[in-house]
Amino acid sequence: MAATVLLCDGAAFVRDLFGDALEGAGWTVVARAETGEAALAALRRHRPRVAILDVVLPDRDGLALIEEIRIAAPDTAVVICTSVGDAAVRTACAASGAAVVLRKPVAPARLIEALQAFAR
Amino acid sequence: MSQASTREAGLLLALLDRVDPADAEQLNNLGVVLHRHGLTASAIEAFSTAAVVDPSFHLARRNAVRALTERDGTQPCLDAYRAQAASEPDAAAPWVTLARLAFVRGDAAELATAVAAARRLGATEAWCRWLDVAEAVEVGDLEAAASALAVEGREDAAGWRWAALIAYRRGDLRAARERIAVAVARGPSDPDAHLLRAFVLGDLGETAAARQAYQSAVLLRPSVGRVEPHLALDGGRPRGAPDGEANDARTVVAEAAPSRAAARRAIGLAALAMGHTAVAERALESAFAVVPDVRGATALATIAMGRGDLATAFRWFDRLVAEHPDDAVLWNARGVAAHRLGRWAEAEASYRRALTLAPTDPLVLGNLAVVLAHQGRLADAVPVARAAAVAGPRAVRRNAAGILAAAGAVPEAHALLSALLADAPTREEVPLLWYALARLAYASGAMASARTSAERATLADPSFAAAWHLQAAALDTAGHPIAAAIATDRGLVAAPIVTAPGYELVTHDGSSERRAG
Repeated sequence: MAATVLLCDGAAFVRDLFGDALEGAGWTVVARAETGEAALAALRRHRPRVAILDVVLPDRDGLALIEEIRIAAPDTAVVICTSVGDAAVRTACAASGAAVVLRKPVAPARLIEALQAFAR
Repeated sequence: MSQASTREAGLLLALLDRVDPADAEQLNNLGVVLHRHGLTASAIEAFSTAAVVDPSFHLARRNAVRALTERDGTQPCLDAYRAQAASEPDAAAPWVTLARLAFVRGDAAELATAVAAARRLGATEAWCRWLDVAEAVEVGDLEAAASALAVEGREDAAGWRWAALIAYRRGDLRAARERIAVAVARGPSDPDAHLLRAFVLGDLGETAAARQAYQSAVLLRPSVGRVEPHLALDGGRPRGAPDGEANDARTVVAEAAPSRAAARRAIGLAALAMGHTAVAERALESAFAVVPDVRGATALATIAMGRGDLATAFRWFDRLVAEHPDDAVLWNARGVAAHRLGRWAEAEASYRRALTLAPTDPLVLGNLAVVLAHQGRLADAVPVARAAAVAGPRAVRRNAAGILAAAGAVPEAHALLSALLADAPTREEVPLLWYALARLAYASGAMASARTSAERATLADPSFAAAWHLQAAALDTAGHPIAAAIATDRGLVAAPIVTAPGYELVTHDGSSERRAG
């Protein structure tokens, strides 16, 4: 599978920051979605290698979205990138099948680093 | 793992001493290099320091644990540090080390003991003060983090940053925003505070302000914005032992990741960020020889430009545009290199080629206007300068004012300079703008105005010799020979050789070079 990635975050700043950084590192960003709905549509169309999601989205719960992604695209690795710092949320993300959980603020290099394992 | 010779070890350890102690990425990358040359204790120091100055840097923590585990296999270093702490009851340093190592190993009990002892003994490391807060935030126990923060207080910038991070992680964006504003106000040079502010503002939907905050973070610490992964201990295979004394630091660094161009390039870029241009150049060249890439070559060209080796810089850019003929940024950079070499026609051709790819790029338009002016083609330069000034950055607008003034469009130049002066100029820019206004006034015969503007330029920068001399000329012309002589003296004290500020050539990486006008 090519090094493709889907971004889903309610904040335009985060979508731009991560999207540009990932493209700069050689990833193909197939979509920069603002909502969970848009992310799912792009996911079904592109089947990216990685989906980067926030837990808090404008239209739905990110944890539920992980589950939907697992069903719709089981080969897509889910990376959670959220500001929510509670340990229980991290545990819940991991239990839902997230491969990596990062907590904002995340410098672009940290994100690239975390995705290295999925790049090959 | 190869063993470093004594000389290599000295050079590498000197490099460690010169790393920014607050830059976790640099520390980590250097730690990998140290480790690969058998300098495990120093590598552990670098990794563990990286981990404590940035507790979210998990790679550094992993590297530290791995190096520590290896070291434990041959030498029980933890026990040695513990024994040292016990035998030197009044020394903070062993406790500081133990605290770092406890943090990377996640040993909460030893962390608490070591931090308490280090603080009691007057440890000066800022991270030591916040380590228990960091640990609580890291494990997601925000209540414990808030309690630890309450004990320590948050009267300084770091305290406010931690308070803001706790609020942010709790989802209280309003409190996070207020607190991070205080943190940035009290510690404007803290890149972590700017980065956090960027994310807080971004989540609040204030995208433009968030981008500005992010740029501030990158300016303060370029590695924040570096899009490449940092080095890991399992990220490459070391080559055999280097050839003893024949090796110098440059060879050592370049050979740290012999088979991986990307890693060499990462080392080169890290060394460049650290100011070690010779090391950076060697590493980047060796990476380029394996896998040519634009970023590495651009950095090499920039290094060459920085040391004034314009011919080499031009060759790099020439090579780059041959490989990437559709890149306007590279054509502009090639133009700047040619421009600085005084090869006007070649510079003009480069700028014009860039403009075929990006017709409205104000930086390129600005540089084209300057090269036309340098060739004495003011009639051609003026419309280009006007177009550049519409959306150009401040340096481009200053250039445009200079070109307009030279072409006789004095009111237009005056309006442009006045607008720049009224619109939050930087401290460095203020004397330049007053000087430019003084020149305009002097050329128009308005001596009183020339004198006043030149005075303001020298007030803003007393070492600005050209402004002193202009002030002297205005005074002399206005019939004040004694005051003129005094101003001349001040100018000669400021600089025996006077160079008038000229145009600035601008590249897309944000650098600019002033050329004589």
